[in-house]
Amino acid sequence: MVYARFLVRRLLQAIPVVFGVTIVVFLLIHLVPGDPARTALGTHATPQAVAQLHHLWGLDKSLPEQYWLFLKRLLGGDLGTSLRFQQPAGHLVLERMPVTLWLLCYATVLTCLIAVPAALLAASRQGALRDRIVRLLSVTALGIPGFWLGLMLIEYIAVETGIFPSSGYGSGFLGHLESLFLPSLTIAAGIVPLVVRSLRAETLKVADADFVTTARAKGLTERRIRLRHVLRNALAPSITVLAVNVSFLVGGTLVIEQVFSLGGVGSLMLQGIDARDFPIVQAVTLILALVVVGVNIFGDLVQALIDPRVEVR
Amino acid sequence: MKMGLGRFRFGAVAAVLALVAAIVVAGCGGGGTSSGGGGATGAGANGAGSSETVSGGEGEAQAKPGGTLTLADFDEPISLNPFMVADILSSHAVTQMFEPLFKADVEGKLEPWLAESMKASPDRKTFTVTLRKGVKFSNGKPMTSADVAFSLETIRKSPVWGIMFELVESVKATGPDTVVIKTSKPAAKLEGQLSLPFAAIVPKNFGGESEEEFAAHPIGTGPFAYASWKRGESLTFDKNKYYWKPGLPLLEKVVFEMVPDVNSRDSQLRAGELDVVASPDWSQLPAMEAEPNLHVGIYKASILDSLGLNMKEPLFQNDKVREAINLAIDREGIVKAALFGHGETAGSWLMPGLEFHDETIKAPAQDVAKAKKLLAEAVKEGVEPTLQISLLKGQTFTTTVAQIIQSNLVEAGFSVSLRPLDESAMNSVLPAGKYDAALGLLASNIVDPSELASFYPATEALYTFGSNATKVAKLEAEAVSAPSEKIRGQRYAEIQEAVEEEKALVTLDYRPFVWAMQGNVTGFQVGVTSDPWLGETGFTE
Repeated sequence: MVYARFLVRRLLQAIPVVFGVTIVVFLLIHLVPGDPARTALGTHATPQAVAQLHHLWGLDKSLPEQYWLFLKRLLGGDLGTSLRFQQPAGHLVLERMPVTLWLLCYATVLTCLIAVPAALLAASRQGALRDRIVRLLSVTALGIPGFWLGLMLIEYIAVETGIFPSSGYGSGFLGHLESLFLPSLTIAAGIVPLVVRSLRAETLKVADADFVTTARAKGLTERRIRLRHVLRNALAPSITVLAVNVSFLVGGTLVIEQVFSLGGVGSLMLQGIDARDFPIVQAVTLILALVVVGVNIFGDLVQALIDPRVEVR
Repeated sequence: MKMGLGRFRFGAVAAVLALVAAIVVAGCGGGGTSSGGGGATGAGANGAGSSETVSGGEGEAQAKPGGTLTLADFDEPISLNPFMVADILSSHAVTQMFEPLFKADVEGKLEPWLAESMKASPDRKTFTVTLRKGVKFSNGKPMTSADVAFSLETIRKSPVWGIMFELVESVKATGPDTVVIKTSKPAAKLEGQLSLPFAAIVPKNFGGESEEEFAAHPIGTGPFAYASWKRGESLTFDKNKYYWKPGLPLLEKVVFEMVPDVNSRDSQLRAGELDVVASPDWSQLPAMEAEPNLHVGIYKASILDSLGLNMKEPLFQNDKVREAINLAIDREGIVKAALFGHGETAGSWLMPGLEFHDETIKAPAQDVAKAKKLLAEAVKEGVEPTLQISLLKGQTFTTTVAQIIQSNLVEAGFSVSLRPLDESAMNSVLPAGKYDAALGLLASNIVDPSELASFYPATEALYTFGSNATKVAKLEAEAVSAPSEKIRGQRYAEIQEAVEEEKALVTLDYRPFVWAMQGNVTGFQVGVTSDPWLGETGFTE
């Protein structure tokens, strides 16, 4: 019951944020020079043909009027029709959503699989060689641009060894698992260092806490202390770091989808921006905003479940 | 695109909004060659002048029927409606499914295609087209004269291509295999216009559907038939089993994949995941040519790269300034550094391969001393030698060319900055005249110069707003209705002279089309348009 109330409150709080995001994006995309009708008709088109298309698409209306229409349609569950593809924008986004969601989830799982052991290893003895190696690798990974890492993985793993495909989404669960490994790893590489840093610092902090000394004095095994007491307490803040970073991860997928030729929401967004396909840009923005809100709420919930001190309000 | 709540999250909201802002403002996009700076969709012509291999693979090897060809382009088509094609990607896809009445072969020679013959009345105002017999659409239904009449009436009304058919007054089906085209004025060479790949023959009334519905699953007479389109991923064609050319096509299936990143395209080709890739990076060509199992096809169909000077700007209204820019540019350097030696320096704006290309108009040799002198004189007359060059962003080639020109012009005494724009922005700043100078490309979808020559005045001298647009329009009208080939040739020579004289369109280089492919791909041809002809493409053993 407490959780249900928490969820409802969070979702209500999300509405103004999502609303704000749509306004900002709407204004940005309309203020940048560029004309969807020109893109559709090419440079051969007569000014009359361009004007006709403007009228047909409602682009001859004022900006507030266009935004009002967008909102009105949105309330009716309609995200508008893509100017470029002449199909419902919401449908196009949902069609491409699985690829992006897969990437996000896969990258998150990989991040946890890499970051948690690495942070524990580093924190197991502060200042030791293993700690320094983990920190050095973290800093290095943080400095590598995602698109470059992606290209290197394609070149040296996909092309040279052929272990993983260099592009595509694959088919079936195992197919996705195989095809999306390199892109997910690329995305994960960008946020692993952040999680490692946070988790390592928290682990060291918690390891010095009084209750750990007490546990040791009570004669608990080192293993039990680390997993049961230290990790559990150190994990909560790291989950927040991870949840916040999923927002950045969404941005990262835009670029990585291009490098690995994945037809996800990111590439749809870029196509949309390129063609000034306003409904597509707005639809993608809105849906991704919802995804990020969802992930953040989920992060809070998990945190509350792990750490009873966090109140669910 | 994002959000977050509670204590930590507003940082994330701001960050993601900033990211969206950066992407939107930068208009960061897949990019790629296209109709960008004032160009037609397709591309130049193969032929006259230097011609290199036009077949893929090792040329000699025999292809066996069957197989699936996977080809990667840098984006996906915008539309599969042939009458609305306005970009090179749609053109690549549409030409696999649709065919016009006449077609230029890979050498640029016109031949009757879905037409068997065309007879002109003595006044060249009535044309009787006899249709090829036995042509069927990919759904098995025979092509009729009613289909042809409907198709030609539709292209006439196309907001994109209608301008090329202004002469046509009516198209009527007069018999089962005959169509009569009437023009308002004598048409010197109607075949030329009818060979436009987008003057495609479709079923009458789009087979009873709306134009949009038809474009969702189009039906044509081409060697391949639409099978499926996974947006953002791939477009698949099956062999048209009713194709009218016996034994063709060889391939069972063709898959157009969308691979926006040029490096990814190259890697996937080398990994064997792709058979053919469009526009590999020029800098990668030597490495690709060195790989024994790859083949690089350089097709002398040409694009004209040019620098348009906006004549609305007081700076460019000064003749000496335009002449100085023309002399300051190192065209040899552009060919060497940006095209890695492929391509040639450009003289006439109507590129080689087009009929009546004037070879006597040569690219001027770089003369910095003279450019400096001319500019100094112009400065004394009161001009401010500062300009900004707009260019399409995200393309290595265009960026290199812009940088070369920038350093050339700075050497001659100009102060130059670069303004990279995405295609949408470019397409709207050019017609609005909101630029100083712009790098653009020009290409033709037919061998006949009439496409570019009619396009020139219609776009106010390719958006340079030059004073010769009216003159070119008049000459073009005379050329299109010229009583003889000689007079037609003269008019096109005058058109080329007029543009050359004004120097508002500074021609830079003729750029060939490049495709890279696996060594076992054979019969891959790129003809007059940029479009690959896959009818005879196949795999060797």
